[in-house]
This record gives sequence, C-alpha cells and structure tokens, in this order.
Amino acid sequence: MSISSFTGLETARRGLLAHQRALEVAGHNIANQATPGYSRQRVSLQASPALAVGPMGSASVIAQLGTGVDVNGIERIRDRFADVQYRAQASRLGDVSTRTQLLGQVELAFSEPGDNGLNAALGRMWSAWSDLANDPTSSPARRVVLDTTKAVADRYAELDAQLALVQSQAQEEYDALVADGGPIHGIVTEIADLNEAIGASLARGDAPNDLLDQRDLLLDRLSEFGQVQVQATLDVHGQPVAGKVDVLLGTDPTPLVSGDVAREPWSVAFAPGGPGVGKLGALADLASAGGPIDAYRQEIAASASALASTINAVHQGAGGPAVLVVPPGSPVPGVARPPLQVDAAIDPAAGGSLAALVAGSGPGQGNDVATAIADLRGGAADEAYRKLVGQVGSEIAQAQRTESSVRSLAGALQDRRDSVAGVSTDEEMADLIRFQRGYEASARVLSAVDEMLDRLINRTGRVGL
Amino acid sequence: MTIRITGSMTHRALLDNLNASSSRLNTTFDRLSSGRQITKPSDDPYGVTRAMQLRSELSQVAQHQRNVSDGQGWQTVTDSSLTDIADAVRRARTLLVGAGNDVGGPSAREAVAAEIDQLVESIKTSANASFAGAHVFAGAQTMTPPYVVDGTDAYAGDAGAITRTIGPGIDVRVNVDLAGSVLGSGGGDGLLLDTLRTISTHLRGGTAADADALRGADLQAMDASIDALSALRAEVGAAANRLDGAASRLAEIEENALGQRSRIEDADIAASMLDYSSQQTAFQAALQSGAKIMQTSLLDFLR
Repeated sequence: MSISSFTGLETARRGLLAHQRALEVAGHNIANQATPGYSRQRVSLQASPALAVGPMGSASVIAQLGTGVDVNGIERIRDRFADVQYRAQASRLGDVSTRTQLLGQVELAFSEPGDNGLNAALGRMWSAWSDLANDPTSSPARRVVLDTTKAVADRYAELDAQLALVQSQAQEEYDALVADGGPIHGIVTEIADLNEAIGASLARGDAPNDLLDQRDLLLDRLSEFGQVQVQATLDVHGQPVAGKVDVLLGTDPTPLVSGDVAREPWSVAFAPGGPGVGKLGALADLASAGGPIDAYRQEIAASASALASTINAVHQGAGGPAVLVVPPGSPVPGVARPPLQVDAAIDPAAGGSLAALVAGSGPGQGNDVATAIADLRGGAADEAYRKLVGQVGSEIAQAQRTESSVRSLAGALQDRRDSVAGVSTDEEMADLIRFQRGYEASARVLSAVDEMLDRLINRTGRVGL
Repeated sequence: MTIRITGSMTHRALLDNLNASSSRLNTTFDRLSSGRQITKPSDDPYGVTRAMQLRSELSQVAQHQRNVSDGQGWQTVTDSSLTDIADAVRRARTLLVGAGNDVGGPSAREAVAAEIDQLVESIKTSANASFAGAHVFAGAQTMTPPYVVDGTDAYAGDAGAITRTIGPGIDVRVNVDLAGSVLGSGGGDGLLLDTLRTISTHLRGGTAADADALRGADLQAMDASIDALSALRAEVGAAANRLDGAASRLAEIEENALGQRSRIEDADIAASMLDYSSQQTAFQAALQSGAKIMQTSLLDFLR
C-alpha cells in the first residue's frame, strides 16, 4: 500500500508536540517541588499505530512503518499503600504528642524536687508541731502550726486546681475541634467538594492529578485527629463510583463524607470507649473521668485524706477538735476541688481559736500530743505523695520516649512516600535536557522533510533552472 | 536497595537532625545554667523520689537539732540552779554543825536560825528558775512558779516529764524532779525544806532534846538530802552528755544526707561542660554539612 508523501511531516509534528508536552510536565514538576502533598507527574508516551508498507502495486506487506509518538496521558506517581501506612502512624503521633504536651504541664504543677513543693510544705508543718511540743503553752507556736497547716492545705488545693485546669483545657480543645465550623468540619467539607470535582472530571475522561493530590493532603491532615478509613463510594446499585470516596474518622460508625455530601447536620459521634487513637482520642482520655489525670487527682485526694485522718486521730483522741477537714465526694473532671481544708475550730479567721490546738493530753503530760503528731512525719501521707510524684515522672518519661520513637517512624514513612512521589530537581533537569534535545531533533527532522518536499515540489521537472 | 532521594527528604532530614541536636544542646545548657540535673520528675523518676525523701530527712534532722539545742539550754539552767542550791545546802550544813556545839548561846542560835530561814528562801528562789519563759522545776506546770518565796513551802507544780525529740521516736527527758526527790513540800515530809524548817525550829527551841536532834536526826536528814541532790546533779550531767552526743550524731547525719542529695540533684559541672562543647561541635558540623548538601544540584554544572 502506498504511503502519503507528507507522512514524514506528521511524524515530526507528533514528535515536536510530544516533547513539548513532556517539557511542560517537567516544568510543572519543578514549579511544584516544594508544594506540600504534591506527587510528581510523568507524561506517558506511546508509539503511534504503525502503517503497513509493501512493494508498489502489490497487496503483500513487508514492514510496519511507525508514525511517531502519541501522548497517552499524564500519570501521577504515588504509592497508595505508603499513604495508608503513613496515616496510621500520623494518628498515633497526634495521640502521643498531645499526651506528652499536656502531661508535661501536669508534672510542672508539682514543682518537685524543690523548696516550693508539697514535700517541703509538709516538712515545715511537722517542724511546727515539733516546735509546739518544745513550748506547749506558747501562742506564737500555735500560730505557726496553723499557718503551716494552711500552707499545706493550700498547696494541695493548688495542685488539684492545676490538674483540673489541664483537664478543662483538654475538653475545650476537643470541643473546638469537633465543633460545627471547626477544623474537622472544614476539612470534611473540602473533601466533599473535591469528591464532586474529581468524580465529574473522571466521568469526562480526564485525569485530575492535582485534585487527587489535594484530597490526599486533606486526608493526611484529618488522620492527625483520628484514625482515618477511606472507602470507595457506592452508588444505588452497590457499584463503586469512580473517583469518589467515603471517609470515616475514629470509632464513628457512619461516614463523615459520603460521595459529594458532608454529614449534615454536623455532628461527630464516637463509640463509648472514645474516639480511638489520634489527637481526639488523647484529648478525650485526658479530659475524662477514668483518664490518667483523673487518676492523679484521686491519688492526691487519697494522700490528703490519709494526712487528715492520721493527724485528726491523735488530736481528737486527746479531746481536741479535728485539725483538717476533707470535703465529701470525688474529684469531677475539669472542676477544682480543694482536697484538704483547715478546720474552722482552730482558725481565728473562721471563728475558732488558737487555744483549741491541743499540745498535751492532760495533767502531767505537757507535750505528748504535739510530740506524737510531729512523729507522724514520714508516715503514710508523705509516702503516698512521694509515690505519686515518682509515678507521674515515670509515666511522663515513658510518654516522651514513645513520642520520640513514633515521630522517627512517621518520618521514615514520609521519606518512603517522598522517595516514590517526590520531585527530584536533578532528575527533572536531566529530563528537561533530554526533552529539549528531542524537540530540537524533531524540529531538525521537520526541516529535513520540508527540504525534501521543497525539492520534490518546486525543483523537480525544471531542467536547467 | 536503591531509593530515590528527593529534595524534600534531604530537607526534612536536615531539619529533624538540627532540631534533635539543638534540643540536646538546650538540655545541657539548662543543666549548666541551673546547676541542677533534675528539674522535673520525668528527668529521673526514681531519683526524684529519693531526693524528696532526703529533703524530708534533712528537714527532720534540722528540727531535731533545734530540739537538742533547746534541751541543752534547759539543762544549762537546771545545772546552774542546782549548783546554787548545793552551795546553799553546804552553807546550811556548816551552820548546823557549828550550832550543834552551841558555843554562842541563844542569841547566836537565833542568828543561825534566821540565816537558815534566809537560805530556805534563797533555795526556793533558785528553784523558781526559768528558761525561755518556762519554769524548769515545775514539772508539766511550766507557767506557774513551783515555790512561793516568803510564803508557804508547798510545791505548786507536778511530777510531769518534759521531753524533747532528738531522733525518730527517741524522746529524752530534760527536766528533773527536784521537788519530789530533794526539796519536798514542807509540812513534815522529811525532805530538804522540811528539814531546814525543823532545824530552824530546833535552834530557836534551845532545849536539850532540840540540841540532841540538831546533832543527830537533823544532821542525818541533812546528809540524806545532800546525797539526793548529788544524785540529781549526776542525772542532769548524764542527760547533758546524751544531748551533746545527739548533737554531734545529728551533725554527721545532716552532712551525709546533704552529700547524697547533692549527688542526686546537682549537676556535675565538669561533665556537663564537656558534653556541651562536644554537642556544640556536632551541631556546627550538622549545620555546615546541611548547608553544603542543600546547595549542590545539577544546575551548578549545566551551562
């Protein structure tokens, strides 16, 4: 079969266009190398369908003549499995880093070891009782006992208040995150819009690479808040719709985004155990009754109660009033509750009197009560508090170690993603040179064919001219 | 395995490592500038509980030292009062022995009786001695003077013990029962005040029976009182020795506890300085190499 004389032009033209497209895609990659969430794109080239050629006038075929190159599409290079792994790690990281940060505030509230903490205040209180034992009839010594006891009660109250504050801050942050119009709602609405755009684009036959990148970036951000699950949206017949995804967050059983539609009216509902892993999970755990901070508050209350009961037992046993009073009930998350208060009977400011402090139990015993109370130093209450501080310290140290290892794991996964989808400037430079040369060469081919045709058309048959 | 290295991987590695390096540097700097190794419980959880325990111990030792010093003050006052009483008693005995000879006659005996009455008042005044506002010889009734000078001989205090805590669970009695074992309450109980009053009565009496009593029963009663007083002074001396021993033992305990606490809490400045300079070097190396890597690319070599 005969081939058109202008076939060469078409081949060269296709070469020019394909190399031009490839240059443009390389340029797009270079322009976006610092864009967060960008995956590199590559033009997909394929040789155009060949023409069969054979001797003139015969129907037999002796060769296939290629007709140039076609641009098949622009591929997006991304490792989807690495995305899933990274998101799991990102939610874990959100969880541990939130815990480390809030628990770090908790441990600073203790001020131990130091002269300003509860340990030192207790020491001063026991010493005041001992000074009273040395001078049982003295009024100034009683005043010092009252003041140091008040200081201990105040320190307990301050500690509890700081922990309650951290709890209420965690709750506030949680509420702000899941609120209508909050960050999660915003991300979810954007994902819904992108779903619509991507679905429409795929239906037309386009490849919306940049829109897909944006959606993946939003899913990465969402995964910090909780474990993210992505499923293909199903249409009314149960068939997956191309390009649209349903997104579930944490232990919420129904999708937040279903195809083009974000959940309306906005609400987030988690299983009774909580939102699961992720920043939301950490905040919910820290703010709730039964979480670690609540446990610390209970232990502080137990230590205060032990202190009150041991001192009161000795003091009331000798006929005096109670020295310390424990309020009823248990700590409520987010609400400060002073674990200990000085009894009004010994406080002149509350209508009592210093004389109600008993130092000796009767005739012939000047200071046995005060001596016995001073001997309570180092007993159950002191021990309980020290044990609590040690426990808080080691739990926080553990959280910090966990954070550092999760962070480095997340970094390694991000590296893995970048290794596949990231833009390497050197690579793009090398490609640029290749495509540039290809373009120049195709242009050269075009000139050569043009010259050939010019000779054929304009010079053939004009002998002697 | 070959993996593609992209610009963002290098960038992130550089930032992460710089962050880690500078946070190590920061921790060491913190240690150096505060002088403390442990600033919060998570730095060393067991160390913190130990440090808190040692601080508690130091507070307790300081209190015991105060108690010991208070007890020593009490002892000093007791001892000097007993010395004064002993002098008075010795003078009374000398007078008694002299009066037993009855050389001077009724007027001389009257003079001796008057002096003995004065000695009684002086003994009672010594017995009313106080330390820091508390009467040392009144038992637990430290607010009331034990004896009324120029009045009745009755003892107004009780037999209570005054104790000071010098160690955990260790209480030491710092007062002595002067009234119970030596001075008595007058009114025929056979102790010193009663004996002196009896002597005074016998001296004024002047009968042969009185004179016999002066040389016999009264002298014996006097000697018994002197023995009781010596025993009391020995008791005071022993208690004072015990307090001195406690003071030096407490000083040793304090030094030990301070040393241990410092080992746990305080930073080793020399080691921290070495750490600081090696970390600083590492940090600079990271900065320099990072700068070099970030800048090199194929663009430098293309026309």
